[in-house]
This record gives sequence, C-alpha cells and structure tokens, in this order.
Amino acid sequence: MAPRTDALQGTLTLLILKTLDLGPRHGYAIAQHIQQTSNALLRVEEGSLYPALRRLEQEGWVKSSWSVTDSQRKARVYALTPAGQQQLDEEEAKWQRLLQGVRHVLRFAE
Amino acid sequence: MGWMRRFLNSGSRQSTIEQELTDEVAFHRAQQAADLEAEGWTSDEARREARRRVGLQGTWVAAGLAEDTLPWVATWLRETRQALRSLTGRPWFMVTTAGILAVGIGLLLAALALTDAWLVRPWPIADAGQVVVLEESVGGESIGGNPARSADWRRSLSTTDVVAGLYGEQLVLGRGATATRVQALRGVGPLTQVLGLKASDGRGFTPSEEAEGAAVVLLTHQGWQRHFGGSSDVVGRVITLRGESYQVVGILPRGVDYPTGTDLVAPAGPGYQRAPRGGNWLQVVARLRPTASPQQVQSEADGVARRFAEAYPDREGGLRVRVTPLQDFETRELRTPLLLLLGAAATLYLVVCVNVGGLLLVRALARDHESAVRRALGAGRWAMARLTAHEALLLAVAAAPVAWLVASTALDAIATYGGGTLSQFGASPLDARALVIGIALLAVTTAALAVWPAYHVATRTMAPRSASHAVTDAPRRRQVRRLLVAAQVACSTTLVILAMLFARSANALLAAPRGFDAANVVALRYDLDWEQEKASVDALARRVLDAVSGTPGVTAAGIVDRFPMTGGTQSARVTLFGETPGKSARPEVSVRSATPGYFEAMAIPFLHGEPYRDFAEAVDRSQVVVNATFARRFFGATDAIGRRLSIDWESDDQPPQWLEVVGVVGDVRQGVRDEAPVPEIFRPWARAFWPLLHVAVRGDGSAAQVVRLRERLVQAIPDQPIASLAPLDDVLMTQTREPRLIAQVLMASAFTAAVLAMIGLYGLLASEMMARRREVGIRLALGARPWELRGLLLRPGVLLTLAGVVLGVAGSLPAARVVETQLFGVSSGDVMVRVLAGGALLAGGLVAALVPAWRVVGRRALAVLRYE
Repeated sequence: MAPRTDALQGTLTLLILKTLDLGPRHGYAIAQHIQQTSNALLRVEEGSLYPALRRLEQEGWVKSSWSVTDSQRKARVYALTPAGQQQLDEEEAKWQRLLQGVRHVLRFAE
Repeated sequence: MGWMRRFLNSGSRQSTIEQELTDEVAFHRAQQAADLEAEGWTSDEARREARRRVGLQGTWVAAGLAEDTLPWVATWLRETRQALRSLTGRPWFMVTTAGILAVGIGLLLAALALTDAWLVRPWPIADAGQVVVLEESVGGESIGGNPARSADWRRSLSTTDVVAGLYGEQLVLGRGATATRVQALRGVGPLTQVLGLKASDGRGFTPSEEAEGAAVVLLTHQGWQRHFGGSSDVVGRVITLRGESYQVVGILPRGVDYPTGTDLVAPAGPGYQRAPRGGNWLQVVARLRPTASPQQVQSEADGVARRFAEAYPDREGGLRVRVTPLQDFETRELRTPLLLLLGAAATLYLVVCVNVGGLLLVRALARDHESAVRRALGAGRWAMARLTAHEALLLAVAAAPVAWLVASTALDAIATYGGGTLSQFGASPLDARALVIGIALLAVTTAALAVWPAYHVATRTMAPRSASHAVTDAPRRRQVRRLLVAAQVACSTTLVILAMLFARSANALLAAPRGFDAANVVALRYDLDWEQEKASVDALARRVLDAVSGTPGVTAAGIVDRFPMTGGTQSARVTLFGETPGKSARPEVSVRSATPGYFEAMAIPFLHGEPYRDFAEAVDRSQVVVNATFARRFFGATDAIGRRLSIDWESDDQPPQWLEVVGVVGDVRQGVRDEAPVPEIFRPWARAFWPLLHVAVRGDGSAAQVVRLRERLVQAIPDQPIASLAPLDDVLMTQTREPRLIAQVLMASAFTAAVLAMIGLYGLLASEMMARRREVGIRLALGARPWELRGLLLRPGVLLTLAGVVLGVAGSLPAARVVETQLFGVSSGDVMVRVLAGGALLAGGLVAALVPAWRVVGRRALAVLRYE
C-alpha cells in the first residue's frame, strides 16, 4: 500500500516522528507533547493519532512494546527505528523546503 | 512487505490486535482522567470528562485495525469460519455433498483432460497447425499416396512448403537370437522437414539423404531408451535393420512420438523414393507456407487433382483430395468416443451441481429466519448471499482432492481397460494443464452451486415475522426448485437412454453370429518382413503347420492373412466369366488368403462343395472358395460350384486369370462392426504373398494347450520369434473392449445421475409436503380419506417427473443421432429403450413421491393441529 501523501497526514507523521526523536513514549504522551510544545496551537485528535501510529509501525518507522508505567498501568510505548530516523530527516527537509517556498510566495505577493 | 504482514495479521492475529488497541484506548482515557484529576477535578468528574473527550472507543479500534489488517481478508476469513461452522454442524450433509461433488467434478476433469490432451493441445510437432494430410480418393474410396504423385504434389502446390509421404513398418533390429522388432517411420521425400523433426543429439537428415533414400536413422527418445538403454555413444553407430547396415545420425527430443510407438525414423530405400505411379501405400503429409491456410491448400489441390486425373485417366481418373490438419486426421476415430465421454461426464456434472445447489437452496430457505434477523441487525443483502457462496466454495474445495483422485483413477481405468483407440490414453496423465482446468472447474462449480441460494437470499423480502411464519414458499420460489429438479430428471433420462443404447450395442457386438467357432482355438502369429522372398514365407508357413500339427491335442490348423473381426481386408473387383473384364460396376469384394485347413480349424461350415487344394499337394492354383453372400449376390439362384471368375487388382493390368469356385462356405463376420456380411472370396495361401502369418489352431481346449504349443514351436522353429500366441477369444475380445468400456462408463454415469435426480426429487417433495402438514391435518379433520389425500399430494411429484422424462426423451433423440455411427445393431431412435428408461425413471419418481406422502398422511397427521 502506498503511504497517504496529503499534507495533513504528512504533517502528523512528521510531528509524531519528531516527538519520538526525543525518546520513546506512549500515545497519550505523544499527544500531550505536541499540544504543549505548540503552545496548544496544535491538538492531535486521538482518533487520528492511533491509526497513524499503526501505520507508522507498518512502515517500519516506529516499533512498539508493552511496558508498565509508574502508575502501574499497562501502556504501549513507541520508539523510533533507524528507518524512522531517516524518514524524519527526509520529512523535515521536505517540510523546510515547503515552508521556504510558501514564504517566498507570501513575500512576493506583498 | 507491508501488505504481506497485514494479510497475515488478518488471519490469526486479528483478535490480539483488537485487544491491544482496546487496551491502548483504555490507557489513554485513564491517563487523561489522571491528568484532569491533577488539575483539580474530582475523580468522578475527571473520568466522565475523559470519556467525553476521548469519544467512542469502537471507532478508534476499528480505524487502528484497518491500518494493521486487510479488511476484506478479515471479512472473508470471518465469513469462511462462519460457513465452516454451519457446515460442520451437519457433518453428514457435508460429507455426502462433498462426495457427490467429487464424483461429478472428478469425472468431468478426467474427460476434459483427455479432450484437451487429444483434441485441443497441439502435438509436439513444430507448428503442428501447419501440417496437413492430403487424403486421396477415387470414387469415394480412399486410396493411398504414391511417391511419384507425392513429388508432383510438391511441384504443383504453391501453398505448401514441402510434401512427403510416410508409412510405418516393423523392422528386425540386430541379428540372430538377440534380434528384436522395432517400429519404424519411413519417409518418402523430405519427411523430417514436413514434421519439423530436429535432432536433440547428433544431426538430422540432409535433403539429399532423404531424396536418395540413404541408409541413415534417427532414433526417437523412447526408441533410444527402449532398444539402446539410453547409451550416450549411440550416435554414429552402425546398426543392422532387416539385415542391412544403417547409420544412426541423431536422436529426437523427448515427447516427439508420432505415430505413437515409433522407435526410429528412416528414409525409405532408393527404390521406393523413385517408385513410379501404380502402387499406392503412402500417407501424404505437407507443411503449409506460413501465410497459407488449409482451406487455401484445399482449393488449390482440387485444381491440381483434376489435372492429375486428366493426365493419368487409367489410374487416377476421378481423383479427389481432402486436406485435413494432421492432428484432426489422426484423431478422427477418437473424436466421437471422446466427445461422448465428455458429454456423459458433463451431464452427470450438471446433475450433481443442480442437486447439491438444490440442497444448499434448502439450507438457505431454512435459514430465512436467521437471515431476516441478521438483516434487521444491519447485515447487507450481499453479506447474506456471500455466506452461501462461502459454503459452496468450502464444499468445492473439500471435494477437490477426492475429485483429483477420482479423475486419475478414471484415467488409469480407461488406459488399462480401454481397447483400440482409447488405449493410447495411457500417455495422458494429469499434468499442470489439468490442474488449471481443475481449478477453473472449482470456480465454475462454486458459482453454479451458489447462484440459486444467493438469488433467493438476495431477493427475499426480509422481515423476521414473515420469515418465521411463512409456511410454504412463495409460488415463484417453488417454481425455481421444481425447475431444477425437473432439469435433473431430464438430464438423467437422456443419459440413461444413451447408456442403454450403448449397452445394447455392446451386447449386439458380442452376440451377433460370427460364422465361426472361436472356442478351443489358439491364435498364433508370426510376422516376417515385407522384403522377404515369397519362397521363404511359404517355407515358414509349411514348417509352422508341420510343427503345430505334430503337437498333441491339435485337431486342425490353418493359416490366414488376417483373423476375422480384427479389422482390415484386401479388396478387389471381380469379373465373372463371360463379362467384359475391368468394366464391372459391382462394388469391391473382400479377398482373403488361407490354407485349406483354416476352414476346419475355425469350424467354418461348407454349404456346398469342398476346400481348394493348396501347396504340399498337387498345386492347383485356379480354385477358390466363396462365402454364401458372394454366391447369392453374384450367382443368384444358380449353383455357384464350377462357375468361373477373375479377381481384378487395382494395380495390375494383367489379362484375367480365371478361377473356379469349388466350394461355398457360411458367412463369417469380418469386421467387428459389420452389420451385414460382405461378399468374400477365399483363395489358396500359395497364390498370395502375405508375410504376416495368422495361424488358427484347434485343440482340445485344455489350459496347457498354449504352453504345449509354445514349447513345441520354440523347439521346432528356433530361428523365428513368435509374435503372439493366445486363445483366439482373448484376441477378439480386445476388439470389443472399447464399445464395452464406453457402455460401462455411460451406464455408471447414468445410474449415478438417475439416483441423484431421485434423491433431489425426494428432497423437494418431502419439504413441500412437510410444509403442507397443517393443510393435511385440517383436511383429515374435515373427513378426507387418507388415500385421496395421498393422491392429492402425489400429483405434483408425478407431474414433475413426467415433465422431466418427456423432456429427457425428447432430448435423447438428437443426442443419440449425433453418436449414431458408434451404435451397432440398434437404431438411435429405438423406442423400446426409451419406454424402458422412461418407465424406470417414472417408477423411481413415484417411489420418491410416495415415501413422503405416506409419512405426511400418517398416524400422526392430526398431531400438527394440536399445537394450533
């Protein structure tokens, strides 16, 4: 199956990979991290986060394992794989290029 | 790789993945609640708020699952499991239906594999479709090809590349005691070019070798294996064939086996290559130019044949030629029996599919309530229809291995017991193509089984109340089932009629008077080469007769050119003394050569006169014996003894040699399929040249006779191998093997089909009558008499059977006409057979209707009303 390439999906992938770049964490923590670091500008819908994580694992970019948290709860923890690291670099570069392009267009329009 | 993992996940890991996703959502919600609690919410409020924010977990889980699995595979597997559960719930239903399917599919697969191997698949000849046979005939009688004429064809036809003649012959390989017989394919002209024979080892023939008739040989793969043990240094070796030296120049690749059983290919000798017009004994084959079609060759050849006829009016006046692709030509004898087997197998398969499809339809009917409930809960129309398709597929798949077994057993049986043309089938085992056919057959079967129940489920109005209270089917639905059952009855009626026709035909073949007595007769055969001197053939004949007569228990012995009923005869025109020679308009008669002892050995009675005298006595070559039909046809009421006649052979222009009739014998059936005796002349063996000695030996019938004869012959004639030695009855039985086998196969299929049709009829009537139980109860309560009621219930079943039988009888008329040529001693429109078959099926139908009618109007009939 070809990965979906629409912009929002791509963004979510980038955000998840970037978050996991800081270290392994579970789904809830990923959502929290994105929300907090974006100053609550970005909120990840749980309904899209988990399917996205399944998809990333299918792609081989993240891998998951079950562990028990401090509060004695069973949680699935996700970590970045080397392939995921590479994907992150690519996605980041792509995003920067996109941003640059958009910025040029906006300036020209002014 | 991704989809592969998803595919695997769809199967066994589905529930684990679902559980993990559920756990993950639960963790997420708990974590959210904990955070809210930390912000100062109360524990209850925090939990409620977390649940509100997270939303329904079902949609998360479903979305996650959709990423980890292939949904359609999961659905498919779930439905398969469901269908499997519903099937294994009734193991007997599953085993019997799969068994019935296996027989139907297996036999059809065997018939299809045979048809494919012989009629469809191109032979292993390069561009087999481009090779045609030129079949020459004069006055409707097929004549063989001739070297000079073949060369003329080659020069005259622009639509063909090369033309050659071929003939097969047995040659003796080696010398002395170790000599063996090999089957050779001899070519006149560029035969290897026509057939596209290329050596896989060594080289092929050069054009000049083929034109000159050089002493070179190509071994076929099986000839190389059989006679040279596959030895690697055989190419270049000089071998002895019929006492002459030939050089092996190459070996043909495996699979080249034309005509079947050929050991080696060699150009015919120089004399044959340059033989003038006159003798006709070749089969003429040609390779088309790449752009030409057989039709083009035909139209060009028609013109050329007319030119030949004008140029050589004596020999080739009225010459006609028919152009047939080689494969069609060689399989023309095979086509009808093969298509007959295929037709029988297809009919049986149809009955099986309709039968099992009907059973599945009944299951679908019984599930109406369940389907209605499922539909009410949101299942789609197609989801319900699919369940039936899954059941059908599972049944077909379960039947598949058994069907394969049935097919290979059937093919083995045909190869073992089928005589004549069918015995060649030994060489067509189930292969990859058969596997593909089998898989296609499974798909077709699944569709055929599922179509009625799926139609029913998909179109039925769905309301749970209506389903549970429906007592009988809607009339339209009842019609569908009745139609299916009537079709089964019709198909099996046709099949039963055909089977009975063939059984009668096979019996007639065995029972028809033969005109000789084969009991206690041993058939002995010596084969000499065609190149032998007549003197040495006669010398061997005398030695054989002496040796045989000296064996204890032997009462009579004689030699003939061919045994009766084994096919083949020489034929010639006859001129009566006093007529103008050569201008007789009478048809050709059969001419046999035999020693006088032959008549006594075969117990062929003399109606008038006595045997001619042959060699060893004072040779009087001018005597002949004729059969009763000849005497009646040529001499009418007058006494045949003492009349004179001359035999006019096609190939010689000699003045007539007058022969005197000295005896009239009873008619002997010469061909196994001859319905009426043919006029026949027997002439002294000494007059003929025939190197294949068929010796009839009448003995005391003891079991040791064959053994004693063999011992005696080996001792007396050590220098000639015996070609065959067996009781004459055994030899003759092989001739009737094929018709008997066809009759047996047809009988077995017809019987199975008829039984299945009756079971289907019983099932239909039983369920219809069960549905009318309430009505029966009410009628009984109102005073109806049980027998009247039963009559009422019987009517639909009887009418249905009658309709099926009438249809089947009607269908049998054209079906039987197609196979008319295969029948012996029975007409294709035979009324008796149809009365018997129709009567048997009607009786079966009556029983199938009577049993449920008896049960429904039984002692417990009124009990139904108790629950009202």
